[in-house]
Amino acid sequence: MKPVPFDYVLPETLDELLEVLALGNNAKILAGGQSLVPMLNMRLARPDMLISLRRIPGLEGIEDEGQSLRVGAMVVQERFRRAVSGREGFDALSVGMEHIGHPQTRSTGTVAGSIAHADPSSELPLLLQVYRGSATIMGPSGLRNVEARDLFLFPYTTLIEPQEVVVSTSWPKPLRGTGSAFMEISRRRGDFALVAVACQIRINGERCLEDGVLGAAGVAGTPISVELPSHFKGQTLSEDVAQYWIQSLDPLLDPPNDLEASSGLRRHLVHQLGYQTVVEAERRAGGNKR
Amino acid sequence: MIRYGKDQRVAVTLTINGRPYRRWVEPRMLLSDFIRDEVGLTGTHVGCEHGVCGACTVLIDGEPARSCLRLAVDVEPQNVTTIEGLAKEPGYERVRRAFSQNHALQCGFCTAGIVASVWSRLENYEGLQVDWDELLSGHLCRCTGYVGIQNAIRDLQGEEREQ
Amino acid sequence: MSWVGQSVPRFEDGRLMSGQGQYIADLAPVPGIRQAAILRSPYAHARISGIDMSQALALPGVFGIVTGADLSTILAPFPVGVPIPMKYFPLAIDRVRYVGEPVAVIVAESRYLAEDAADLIRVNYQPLPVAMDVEASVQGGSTWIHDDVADNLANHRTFRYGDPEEALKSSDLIVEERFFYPRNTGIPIETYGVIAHYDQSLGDYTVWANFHGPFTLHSVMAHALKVTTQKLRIKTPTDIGGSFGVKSAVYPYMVLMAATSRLLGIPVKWVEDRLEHMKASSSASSRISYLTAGFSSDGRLRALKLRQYDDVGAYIRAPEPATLYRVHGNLTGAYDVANVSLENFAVLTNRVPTGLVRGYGGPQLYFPLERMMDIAARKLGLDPADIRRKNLIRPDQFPYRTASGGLYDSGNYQQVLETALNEAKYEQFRSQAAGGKGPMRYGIGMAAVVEPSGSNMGYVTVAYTPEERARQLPKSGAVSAATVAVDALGGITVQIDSAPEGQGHETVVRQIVADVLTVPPETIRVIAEMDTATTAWTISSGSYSSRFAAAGASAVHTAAVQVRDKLLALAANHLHTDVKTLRFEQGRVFHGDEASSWTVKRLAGLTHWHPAGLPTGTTPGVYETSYFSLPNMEPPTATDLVNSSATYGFLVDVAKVAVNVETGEIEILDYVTVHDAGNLLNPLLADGQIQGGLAFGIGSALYETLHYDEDGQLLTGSLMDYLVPTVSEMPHSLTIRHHHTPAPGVPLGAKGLGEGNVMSAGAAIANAVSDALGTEVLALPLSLRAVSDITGKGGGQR
Ligand SMILES: Cc1cc2nc3c(=O)[nH]c(=O)nc-3n(C[C@H](O)[C@H](O)[C@H](O)COP(=O)(O)OP(=O)(O)OC[C@H]3O[C@@H](n4cnc5c(N)ncnc54)[C@H](O)[C@@H]3O)c2cc1C
Ligand code: FES
Ligand code: FES
Repeated sequence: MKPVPFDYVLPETLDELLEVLALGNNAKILAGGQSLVPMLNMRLARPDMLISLRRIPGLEGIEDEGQSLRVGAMVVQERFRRAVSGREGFDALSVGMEHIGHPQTRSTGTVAGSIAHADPSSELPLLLQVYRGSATIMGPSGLRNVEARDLFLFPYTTLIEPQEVVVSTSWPKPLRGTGSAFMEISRRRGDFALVAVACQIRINGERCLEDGVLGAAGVAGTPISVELPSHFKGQTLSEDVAQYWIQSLDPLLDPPNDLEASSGLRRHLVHQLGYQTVVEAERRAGGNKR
Repeated sequence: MIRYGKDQRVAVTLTINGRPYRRWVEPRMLLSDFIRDEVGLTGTHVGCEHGVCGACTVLIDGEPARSCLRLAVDVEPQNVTTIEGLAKEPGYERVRRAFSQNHALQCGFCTAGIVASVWSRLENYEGLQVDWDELLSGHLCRCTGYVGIQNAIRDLQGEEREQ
Repeated sequence: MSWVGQSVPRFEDGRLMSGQGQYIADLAPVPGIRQAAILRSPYAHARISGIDMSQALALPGVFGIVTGADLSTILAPFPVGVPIPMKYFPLAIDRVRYVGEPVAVIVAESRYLAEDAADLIRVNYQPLPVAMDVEASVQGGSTWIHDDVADNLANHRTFRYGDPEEALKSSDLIVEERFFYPRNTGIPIETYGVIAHYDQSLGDYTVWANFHGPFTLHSVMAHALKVTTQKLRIKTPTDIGGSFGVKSAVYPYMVLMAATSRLLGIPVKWVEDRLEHMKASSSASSRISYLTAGFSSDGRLRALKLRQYDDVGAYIRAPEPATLYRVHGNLTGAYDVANVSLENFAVLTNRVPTGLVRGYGGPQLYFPLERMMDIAARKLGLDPADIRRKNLIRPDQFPYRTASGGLYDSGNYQQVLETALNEAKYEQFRSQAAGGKGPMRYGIGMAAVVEPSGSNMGYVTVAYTPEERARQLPKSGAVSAATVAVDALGGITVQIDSAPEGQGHETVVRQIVADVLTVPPETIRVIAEMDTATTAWTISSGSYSSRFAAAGASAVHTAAVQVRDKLLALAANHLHTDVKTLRFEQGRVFHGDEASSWTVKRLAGLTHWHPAGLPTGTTPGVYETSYFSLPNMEPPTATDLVNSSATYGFLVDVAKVAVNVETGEIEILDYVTVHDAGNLLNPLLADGQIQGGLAFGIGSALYETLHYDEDGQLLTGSLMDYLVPTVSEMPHSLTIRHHHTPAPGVPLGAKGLGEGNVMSAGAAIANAVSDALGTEVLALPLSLRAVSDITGKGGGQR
């Protein structure tokens, strides 16, 4: 279990990075390495060149931009988790990130790396969708912003082109009155999700629904999410409303069938967890209101 | 911009346990192999090389991390601490005692990694809430059933509270 | 105060806690060692029609490549424990039979380069049909894996004790079920490692490996290398990073690297990586058991009928098919039943060969047996505790001879059961916890297990028919050797033959010798590394079958007593008194209450510095070796009776679980385990063995399986997919209690206890889950998927 030989490049500016990426010779970006290096060690990934982001300045920040938090590409998961834990409306994010691997991998794995890797069972791609976040991507033709809901195409495949790099991700701060929740079933603590569900809900003073996003991971080739159907806006969250909303995920489901859980079981789990998550998010929204 | 060719051996200088070690290695060399085979600090163990078992865990700038999932060349200029370094710390004796008295190790193969994780929380975490089971879940121990390790941690926390 | 019986923290811990352990991967015992990697088969079954190594050999830094063709010039096939025409080499010759089977060994300057070279080797494979289903094979429906082994049947034996047919006929209740125990494995965190050096001038092999016996395998290796046994010197490192039985199967790799060193003329080192370990090291045998049991209406077990199919993988590798026979003497568990019939099949499949894994043969037996008791209880309207009470062997029946020849040496099974039930507040749980709350269902389950320790080397030959055995030399015994030496200035060194891998033998040995010679334990040095050229050992040496407490400790004890007796005799000579009036205290000879000036140091010194002054008959030096043989270890009889183990401990586990019927998640709320392993040499270490064994048992019950698809590809080949429990998967609360019924045939009265919970946990948890769900669990592990198949959530089997 040793990697194949590869060139190692350590650009010191984004321009230099784009320059080497443009060479297009089977290169891979190395961020935290927590997904890439296992694949290198197993020789499942055989790049000719690794390009490390470690020396590029400006990728380490967590910036409060008022409406949102901008997270630099090299911010590690554990640091981001600590930064958002306890912040209003970010419950789902901080709880969800506790489910990513272990403290020992989160100390090294980056937020952007997880997004770029796009494992369909990963927590952060799901969370980025549910928070209506986006990735800022730099390429030969400059910067572009891609909404999370457009970013993920297939398992391990995104809109990010080989000559491009994610420079940051943006996490909109939930408005006042928002509650969020995250639930996951995995086989062991720290394992990838068999099924994960995340939800954010905003309510008004009368506890009527104003806005919401509900999403799931582990149940399709990409994370999936649905907005709160507009005809529920202004209603309170009844069991019927919750169930209807959850069922609106059904057309997007395409769950895998494996040793640990059948497709049928995963469908069932989305419904189970979905209900609890929606109820919990609404409860937190109510709590945050007061 | 530094560019190293795949067939090239490159000079990598890592600070391990406070001492710089300069070695000529291939860019692909894993940190775990650098520590063990190049520097000869064999207290760090390798159990899976895919990040799951935790045996290779060392401290990188004080945070526990898998040395099997880092390229040595990519670690420069961070500081690495291995069990050999911890064992020389003045506060380490109480960790050794707590582990031994609670029979927190049998074969000892997982121990260096576990001790690194535990140490990171004992040292820099004053006042912060530590989810010890979560921390320990990042390590596989096949011998102890984790009971002795949990007990050792409980003793260490008790001592901290008394202080 | 005696040291034995105290919770002495380990002497091993100091070095291990400071990074000074010495494991195989850390060693470079000879200069010029080169690194090996192994090219392995991607197919479960294929013919090899050609290997092109030209590109690989041209890679700078590559020293050579060894293939099956080269190897077959110097090796003989490994001897096996059954009379079948199968040739097992450590490297495929012209056909591969499981995914991961070694095809070539590449030796290079570094492991990185060796793997690069492996990538460049082109092997021409012609895939063959695979045989994955043991029952289909036995029925003649599978391809043959070895040309001359019909229907892949490696071993088939039938046994009959008492009159099972008649007893079944007169039973009121017949329980009939099919059970499945999965393939799982030990997952030591350290993988295999071998260093081999061939001395070209003398033709001598030296092999360092994290091998821990049984050292019968030394002769198997020497045979394969076609040398007489003194030409194969095996050394073990100071520290071995766990094994749980699995590392006994490093031996084919020891032969492989030894042969490679010879063929390439350089010392080679191979450190297995985790993917190799998962695919191609070893595994527990899976078992399909058809069980039929007859009970009387009041719950007495009258007859037991078992038909067992073991999947032994692509080659039956010594000591297999011993999974089927290790528990032969305790086939009937804790119950008094005389009528038994047994039919055993060991069947070859295109999976990795099986071997020792902690519990060896135990979980495969006790999962069906202990489930059977609960199934019968439910059918008869009895409480599972009551049906066990009715059938447990009574204290007055010891020593108890089982139907199949086991001799249970001592015990009080009722007492252990009652303690377990009390600790678990069994009655209280039963009376309260009807049903559950929301999606949660609560259940309680128990398992009662007779835990064998100290295997009789003769049991393995039960695989042969009595007629076949009669044509061989008899095999029997469970022996361990130890040496206690005292040097010229009184320094005490003890050499043992157990090759431990974390059990703390160095500490227990100190406790034992400190007691006998009345010196502080820290003044004793223990050498636990094995060296077949210099250590006293026997074919049954090694760490397996929980044998140290009974066998190894006894050898140490008797060797220390020999030293003590020699020194006391010397003292008696000098003090002109009868030796019977003398004893050691604090390292000094006492005559009655009076301290003499004679110490261990001074007496031993005499034998070194002044041999001329020794009384006639006293030899110079103090170097006492004891070969200790456990009692009642006869070869199997002509009627297939065998006492397969030297001592038998007992344990009862009670598990409480919560099952979420919506998600299939199982939580172990509370776990009680009560053991009777006789006298405990070191309770701290004993509990450590129980905790570790239990973690293992929980893994096998809920998580672990080496799962193959129908083409023979391993689907759980990394630690991401093969789920070893972490701390978060352990029970919320664990209670351990002990009873102490000494082992009568063992000087210190101790029995082994490290495997019991591997045998019990699967059954106890399955019983608890069956109780919670009101169904009968018939297979392990209880994954979410398995539970949802029972509850039908998510459409069950879909
Ligand atoms: C034991 C273990 C358990 C884990 N459990 C989980 C889990 O439960 N959930 C989970 O989500 N993850 C889990 N992971 C994976 C972990 O979260 C990784 O950190 C993450 O998937 C990738 O982040 P990284 O920084 O390590 O990226 P790397 O491994 O460095 O890169 C991953 C991929 O993304 C690309 N990439 C990285 N950064 C960028 C960028 N800025 N722009 C463009 N491309 C980029 C790389 O080229 C590569 O293809 C686990 C890992 C381990 C070892
Ligand atoms: S060896 Fe690095 S985590 Fe297992
Ligand atoms: S002590 Fe052996 S693996 Fe932990």
